[in-house]
Amino acid sequence: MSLLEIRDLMITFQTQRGLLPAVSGIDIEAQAGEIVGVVGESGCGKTVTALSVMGLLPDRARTSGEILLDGTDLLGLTPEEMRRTRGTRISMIFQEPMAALNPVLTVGRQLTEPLVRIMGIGESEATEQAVRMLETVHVSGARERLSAYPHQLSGGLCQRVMIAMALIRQPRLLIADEPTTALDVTIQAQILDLLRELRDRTGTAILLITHDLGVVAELCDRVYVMYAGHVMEQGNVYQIFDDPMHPYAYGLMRSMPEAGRANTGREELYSIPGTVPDLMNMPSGCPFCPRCAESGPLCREILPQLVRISKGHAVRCWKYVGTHRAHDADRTEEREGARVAR
Amino acid sequence: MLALRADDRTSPAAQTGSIPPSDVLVRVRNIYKHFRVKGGLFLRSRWLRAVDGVSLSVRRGETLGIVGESGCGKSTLARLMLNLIEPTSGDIVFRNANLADLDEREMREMRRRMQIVFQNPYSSLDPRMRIADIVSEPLRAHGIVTTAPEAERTAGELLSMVGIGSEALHRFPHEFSGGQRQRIGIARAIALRPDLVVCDEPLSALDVSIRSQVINLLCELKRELSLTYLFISHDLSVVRYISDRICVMYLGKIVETGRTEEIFENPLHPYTRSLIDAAPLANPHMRNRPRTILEGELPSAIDPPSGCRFRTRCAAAADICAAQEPPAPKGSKHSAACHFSEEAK
Amino acid sequence: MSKTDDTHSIWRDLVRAYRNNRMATAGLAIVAILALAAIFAPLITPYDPYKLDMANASAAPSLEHPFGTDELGRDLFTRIVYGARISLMIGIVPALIAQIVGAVVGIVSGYYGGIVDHILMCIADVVLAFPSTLLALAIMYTLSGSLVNLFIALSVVGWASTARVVRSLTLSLKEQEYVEAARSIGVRDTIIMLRHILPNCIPTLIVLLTLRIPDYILQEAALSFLGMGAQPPTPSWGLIATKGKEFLFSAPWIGITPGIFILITVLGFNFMGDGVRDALDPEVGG
Repeated sequence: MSLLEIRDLMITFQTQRGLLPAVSGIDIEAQAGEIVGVVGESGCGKTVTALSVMGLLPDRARTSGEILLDGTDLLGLTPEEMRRTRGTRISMIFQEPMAALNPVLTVGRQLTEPLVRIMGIGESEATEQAVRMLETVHVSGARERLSAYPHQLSGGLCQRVMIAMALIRQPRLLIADEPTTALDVTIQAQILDLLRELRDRTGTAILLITHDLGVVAELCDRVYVMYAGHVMEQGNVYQIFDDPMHPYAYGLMRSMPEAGRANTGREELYSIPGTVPDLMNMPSGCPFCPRCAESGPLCREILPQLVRISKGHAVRCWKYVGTHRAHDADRTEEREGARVAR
Repeated sequence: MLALRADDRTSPAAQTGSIPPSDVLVRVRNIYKHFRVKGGLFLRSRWLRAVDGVSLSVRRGETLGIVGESGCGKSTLARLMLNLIEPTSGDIVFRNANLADLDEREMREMRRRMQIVFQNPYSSLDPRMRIADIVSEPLRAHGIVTTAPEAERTAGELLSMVGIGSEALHRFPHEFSGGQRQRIGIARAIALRPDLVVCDEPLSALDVSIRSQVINLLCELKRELSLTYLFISHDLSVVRYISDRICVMYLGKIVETGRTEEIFENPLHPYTRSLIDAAPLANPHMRNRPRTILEGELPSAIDPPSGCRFRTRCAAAADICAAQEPPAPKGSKHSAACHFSEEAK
Repeated sequence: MSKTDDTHSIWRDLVRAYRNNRMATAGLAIVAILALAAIFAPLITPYDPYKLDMANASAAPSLEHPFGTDELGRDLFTRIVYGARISLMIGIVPALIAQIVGAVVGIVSGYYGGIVDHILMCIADVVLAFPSTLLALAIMYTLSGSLVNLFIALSVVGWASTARVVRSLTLSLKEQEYVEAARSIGVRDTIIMLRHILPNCIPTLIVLLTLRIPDYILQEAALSFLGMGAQPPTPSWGLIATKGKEFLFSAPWIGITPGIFILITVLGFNFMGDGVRDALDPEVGG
């Protein structure tokens, strides 16, 4: 059984303009010890998905489907049970570590509080555990840092403290929502290394929410590509990056000016035309259809199912329904080109 | 090869076979900007050395990339170059005029020649103005258009240049997505047909699929309007794609400068090397590539390390690095502010 | 992006958010009724507010005199309706003056900073250092009591707090990139202040205004009650209440009626002010 199993999750928000479908029936799985990436652009529903797993959605959100953690449906828990689940079995780190820490409490207080209050550990034992946890996330001078306030720490250190707080009660699942977006590249590399190391050491599964394909390629085992509330493509990281099948997925890959690529001449960068659709006025059929160069009449009418391409690799696109092999051959040349460029 | 020149700073340009010195559009000479930081109630205030002795020149028609992490002073440098803030010391010479010598009227005239595209497409457009008024504001400020229909017509033309239909004219900024707003910001920046456009992280707030559209737009406008860009970014891949030359900044100083290929193929400064290493690659096969990951955090710009500022995080730091500041990179030849940069070559 | 309504504006959002607020709508209704009554006072009142009728002095409320008469036999209903004119004027005119002066001082101070800011804020601090009623009282004492002087006194008292708020708002607006963009384009400072900073201060100014009006109505009542505001025989609510104090036991309606009206008016304006504030707050109004 998977550690986390999201089944047919739908999330709608009630707004002044009407119902806003943020997530429209997605299935996501994560095994213990696995780093799963959920990648997509703003408004694709990735953060809302993360918040729903944490039970942190605002009241005006309506949720249906199942979120199974070790077989228990989190959506069926009472608020009190959910509160106990957070922190012990799942925890979360956020994009703005500075904003997620309480500015008027010391780092030590924030780290030991849940241990003392909820787990009933003695003050001094809790302090020892906090020091050990800070050392685990490579905070230098851990004991001295306990008396520091968040504003005395840099962004990178704050994120380490956040990770320490998230992991101090040894959760089975860590949700990381854009954990490095607010950080500099050199600090981002440190944090990504740290997350990988923690997974290797503790076996915690990580659900990584990000818009950055580079971060996904560096860290994740499996990837879900989301667009406008749907999973468009899923597979392991090699399947997704070597062989993106969905027009949106390979459009995204090709529109990145790669750091590894020399810039010879001024050939135009590939770009996906148009903008992300307004969730209030979603086109019927495939949501990517208005921006897709390969869309046909069927795309405008009906949303395709996820089509299994190979083991673990699935795509939501009419191109591959039934006849995907044939289409595949057409595109080999194109993909070869992309590989050479890399 | 070009004829003799007296200014030794420009001669390396000739060696690399680039543009003659008369085509320098902006020259920044040894510029400093220190901000006062208030101490506590009884503490004396201290100085944050945001830009600490930077010299560079931007040639007409090129794209100069400025790369560095937050706090390296790159945005301050941009605002200094546009005279939006006053330098603590040093000169900015724009089209052979020292900006410090200009009076208010002359400076206003000069502003027509230099424009800026901001990072945040949400805060860079006044929420209470219509798009037509936003885009035509530069033209009205300089008395180029005076009547409302004229302003609307030119605004429409400018918007079509950035790929936005004229139905946008009567709308308000909040009705547009981030990418569209950034296009509107670009339309405003090119309204006066400037020589220099400073792009201050224009892509960092945009989605991936929108980012490449804006990169293409910037490249296209540059060709059509023969613009010169100063392109500021923390994203190496974007800077690499768009720039002809690059300056790498660290803690208020330029640590390395050179042509884009030179910097990426043979980084001389250990900081540049670790920046390149740290940038994530969208290729999972490369995830175990050998690379150095910088230890530690950026030191404070209030009290920077002695000697070489990078030495506290540098794996190759030696005694000389603490004792002596390495000479700043000069001219446009590929060079780095590192005591060991010659060996790196 | 809204595709259907091209004229979609901030005002429309505001009106909608306001309408959903029941207390605010009630407040608006109270204020509107009072304002109409004040404007059309001669049409709805059967008597002359100044005409004495000693035969009917201190008459209890009756069909002829719905609120009764005062100690000189003047119809209290008539005097209350005419008093609304004065109260609303006292509320609105000096509040407007204070808002305008405060906005100008605040924007100039915040935008230019430095020595200008220092001097202007020093003056504002001096004004703010006095309890406002006491300062108004002192000014009225020096100028002698009259309606015009009351306008002056309340304006002098009020501008400083507005200037403070607008200044801090300007400081944050000044850092917005669109202001920086305007500067980089070469737009003149005066134009930047008028076109970019002032319009973005207006919502706050409106909220401050609607919350200041009831404050001034109370101030007028208090000053008149102390004999430092409007002078008899002006039908001011504060004055009527002062007189009523003497007859509190023999003719309680003289003192109580203006008190009730002051209460209702102040509540009406406060509900309205809260409603406007909530409607303009992006978090609530959206």
